[in-house]
Amino acid sequence: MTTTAAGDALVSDYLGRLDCELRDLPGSRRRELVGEMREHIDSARAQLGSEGDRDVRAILDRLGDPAEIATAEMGPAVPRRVGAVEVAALVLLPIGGLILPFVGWAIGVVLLWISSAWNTRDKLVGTLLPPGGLGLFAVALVAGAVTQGSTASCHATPIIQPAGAVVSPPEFQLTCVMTGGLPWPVTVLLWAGLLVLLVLPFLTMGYLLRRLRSARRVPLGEPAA
Amino acid sequence: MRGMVPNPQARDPLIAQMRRGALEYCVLALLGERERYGFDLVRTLGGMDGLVTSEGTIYPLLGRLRREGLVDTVWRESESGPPRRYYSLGPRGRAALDVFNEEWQRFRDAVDRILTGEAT
Repeated sequence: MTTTAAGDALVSDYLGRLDCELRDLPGSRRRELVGEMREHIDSARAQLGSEGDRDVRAILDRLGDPAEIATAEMGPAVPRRVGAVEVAALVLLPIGGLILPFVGWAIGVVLLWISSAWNTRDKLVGTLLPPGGLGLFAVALVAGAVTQGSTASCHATPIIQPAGAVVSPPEFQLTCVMTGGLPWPVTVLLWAGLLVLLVLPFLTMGYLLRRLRSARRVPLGEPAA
Repeated sequence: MRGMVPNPQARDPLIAQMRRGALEYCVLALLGERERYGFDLVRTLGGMDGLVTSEGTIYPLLGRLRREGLVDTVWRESESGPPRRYYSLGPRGRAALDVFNEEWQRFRDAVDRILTGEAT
C-alpha cells in the first residue's frame, strides 16, 4: 500500500466535514463514529495497490455525503419554529429583571420552558446563567457601591509654590485614602465578578439564539410532527 | 458503480424506508453466520445491488443495534495496524432475526403474488 499526501488531504477534509455535521452529538459518540469511519477508510485504502486521487474519491463517494450519515445517526433535520414566545423569552431573560425587578425575568423563564424550540439543557443554561439576568448585575452593583462608597476619604493640601511665582488660582493636591475597605485582591475579584454578571446574560442570549438557528433532529422512525 | 442505486426514483422516501427496515435485518443475518469486522460487513452489504445507497450510513445503524443490545462488539488484534472492532449477533438479535425471517417470507410471497398477477 502506498498512500499519498493528496489522498490524506481528501480524507481529512471528508472527516472534518463529517465531524462538523455531527456537532450536536455527545462528544464520546461523535468521536466513536468518526473513528469508525476513519478505520473504514484506512482499511479501504490498504486494499488499493497504489492509490490515486480517483481511488480515494471513490472510497469517499461510496461512504456517502457526511450530511446523509448525520441524518442516519440523528434523524433528519427539521427547521425550528420561532415565534413570539421565543422572541419574548430572549428579550426578557437578560433585561426583564431591569424593567420589572425579578418578575420580568421570571416571565422570561416561564416562556423559555413553555417553548418547544429549546431542549432541556438549553433551558437550564438559559435559566441559571445567570439567574435574574442583568437584574443580578444591577443588585450586585448597588450592593457593591453601598459597601465600598463609605470607605474612601479624601483631603486636599495646598501646593506650596516657590517664592516669587504668581499662581492663580492656588493649586491643591488631592489625596485619597481607602480606610476600612476590603483588601485589594478581594476588590479585584469583586470587580471581575461584576464584569462576568454584566457579560454573561448576553453570552447566554447568544447561545440560545444560536440553538434556535441550528436545526432540530427527529430520530428516524418517529413522526416528524 | 457496483452497489450504488442508479435511478433517482430509488430515493423515494417510501422505498428508502423499506430498504432501511430490511437492511437492519440483513446486518443481523450476516452476523448470524459469523462475527465480522465492521469494514467487511459494510463492504459486503455495499456490494449488493440496490441494498445500500451510502455505505457510511451503516455505521450509525450498527451503533443503534449495539445500543439496543441486538449486536455485540469485541476488539481483536489485527496482523497489521491497531486492534479492530468486530461485530457479532447477541441472543436478542438472534430472536429478532428469527421473527423477521418468518415475517419476511410471508410478506415477500404475498407481494410477489400480487406483483406478478398470480393473486387474481
